[in-house]
Amino acid sequence: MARDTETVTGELLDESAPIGLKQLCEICGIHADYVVEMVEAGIIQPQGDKPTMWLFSAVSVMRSSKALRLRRDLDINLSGLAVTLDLLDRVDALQDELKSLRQQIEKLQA
Amino acid sequence: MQFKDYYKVIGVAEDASADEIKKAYRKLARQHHPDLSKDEGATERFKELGEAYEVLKDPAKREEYDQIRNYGAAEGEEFRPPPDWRSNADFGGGGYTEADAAGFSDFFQSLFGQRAAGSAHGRHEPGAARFALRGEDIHYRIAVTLEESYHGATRAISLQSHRIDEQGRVLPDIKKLNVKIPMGVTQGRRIRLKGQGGAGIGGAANGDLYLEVDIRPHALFSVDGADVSLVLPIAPWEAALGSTVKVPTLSGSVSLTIKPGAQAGQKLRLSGRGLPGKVNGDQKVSGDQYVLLKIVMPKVVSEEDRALMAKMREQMPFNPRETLGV
Repeated sequence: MARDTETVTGELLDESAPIGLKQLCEICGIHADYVVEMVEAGIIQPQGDKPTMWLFSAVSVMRSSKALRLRRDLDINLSGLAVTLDLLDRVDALQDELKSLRQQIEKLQA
Repeated sequence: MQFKDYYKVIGVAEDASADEIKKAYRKLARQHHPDLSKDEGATERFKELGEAYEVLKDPAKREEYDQIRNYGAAEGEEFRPPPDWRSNADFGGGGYTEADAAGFSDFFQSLFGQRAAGSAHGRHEPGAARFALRGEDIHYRIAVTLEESYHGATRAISLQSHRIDEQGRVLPDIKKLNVKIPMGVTQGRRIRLKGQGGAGIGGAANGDLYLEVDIRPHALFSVDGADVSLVLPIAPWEAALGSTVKVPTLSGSVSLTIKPGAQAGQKLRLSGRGLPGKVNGDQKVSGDQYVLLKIVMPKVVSEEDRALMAKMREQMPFNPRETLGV
C-alpha cells in the first residue's frame, strides 16, 4: 500500500497533560471501581483528594494498561501487580545504570 | 500456510493433562510476557503461546486440533484443512473467547474461523447498537543516537500494522512515518503519537503509538539519564603539574583545567554540558558532563626515555601499593 509518508510530532509521555477518572476508564476500558482499587493498592497515584478531582498523568495511564495486561495474561492480583510494577521500575533503573557503568569501564580499559 | 504444533509451542507431551498444560503455559507466559521480557521477539513468542494455549486449554478445540494433527500434519509443513472441515467451536460467530483472534495465525483461523473485525455485528439491523472498539496501542522501541537526542531529529520509521477493509477483513500493512525526536530525550522515555496505533473499529478512535527511546552506545560518551560521562586520557606530567587540555563535548570541544596533583579516577564536572533539558520558566535544566581522568603512560622508546624514568625512580620514593599494606 503506497501512501505518502506523514511527518508526525509526538509528545513526551511524562510531559503530556493529565486526564480525569472518566477518561482513564475509557482509555483502559475499565470501571471506575477498579481504578479506585488500583489507587488504593498504590499502583497509580493521582493528584487530587477525591475521585471526582483525580488527575492521572500519562505515565499512570501506561502503568494502568501494563497492570491490566499483566492481570489478563498472567492472572496477577492487585497486590501482586503493585509489587511487579515496582520491581519492573527498579529493574529498569538498574539496567540503565549498569549499561552506563559498563560503557565507562570499557572506555577505561581501552 | 504452515502447520503449527501447539504441543511443541507449550513444551508438553500430546497426552498432557489440562493441569500440566496450564502450568507449562503459565511458566512460559511469565518468561516471555512483553511487559516482563526485554528479549527481542518476546511479543511474537507470547502471541504464539497465547494461540497454542487458546486451543489446548479448551477440550473441544483441543479435540478438533488433535484430529487434524493425527490426520498427518506435521510441524512446518504446508497445511490445508480437510475439504469438509467445519469447526464446532464456531469462532466465526463471535464471542467464543475473550482472546483477540485477529492476532492469531492463519493456521488458527483456518481451523477455528476468524472473528473478523466487526463481522459478528456486521449484518446489524438498522438502529441496532453498532459494534465499536478502540484501536490497540502499539509499542515500539526506537534506537536514538546521542547526537539525535542532543540536536533533535526527524527519523523515518516503518512499522508492521494492519488495516481493516470494507468487508471488515484484517489485512497486514506497512506503515511509514517520519517521527520528530524531541531534543534531550533520555533512555526509557516514551514518545506518544496520538492516533497512530491500530485502527479503531466501527468508528471508534485509533489507538496510540508509543515509542520507547533506547539511547545507542556512543564511541566517546556514556549516558546516564541526561548526564554524559567521558573518560579523558591524560599524560602523567599533565596530572602532576596541572594543565589545560581540550575535551570533546556534545557541543564541540572546550578547554578544561586540570589542577596540579590530579589522580586517575578523579571526576570533574562540566555543568550544563549534558543533554538539553526542557525550559522551565526562565530556567533551563540541562544535564552535566562528567570527565573521568585516566592517566596513560607514554611509551618508553629511546635510551633518553629510559634514563628519564630511571631518574624518577631514584629521585621520587613512591610506593603505589601502600594502601595494600605491602
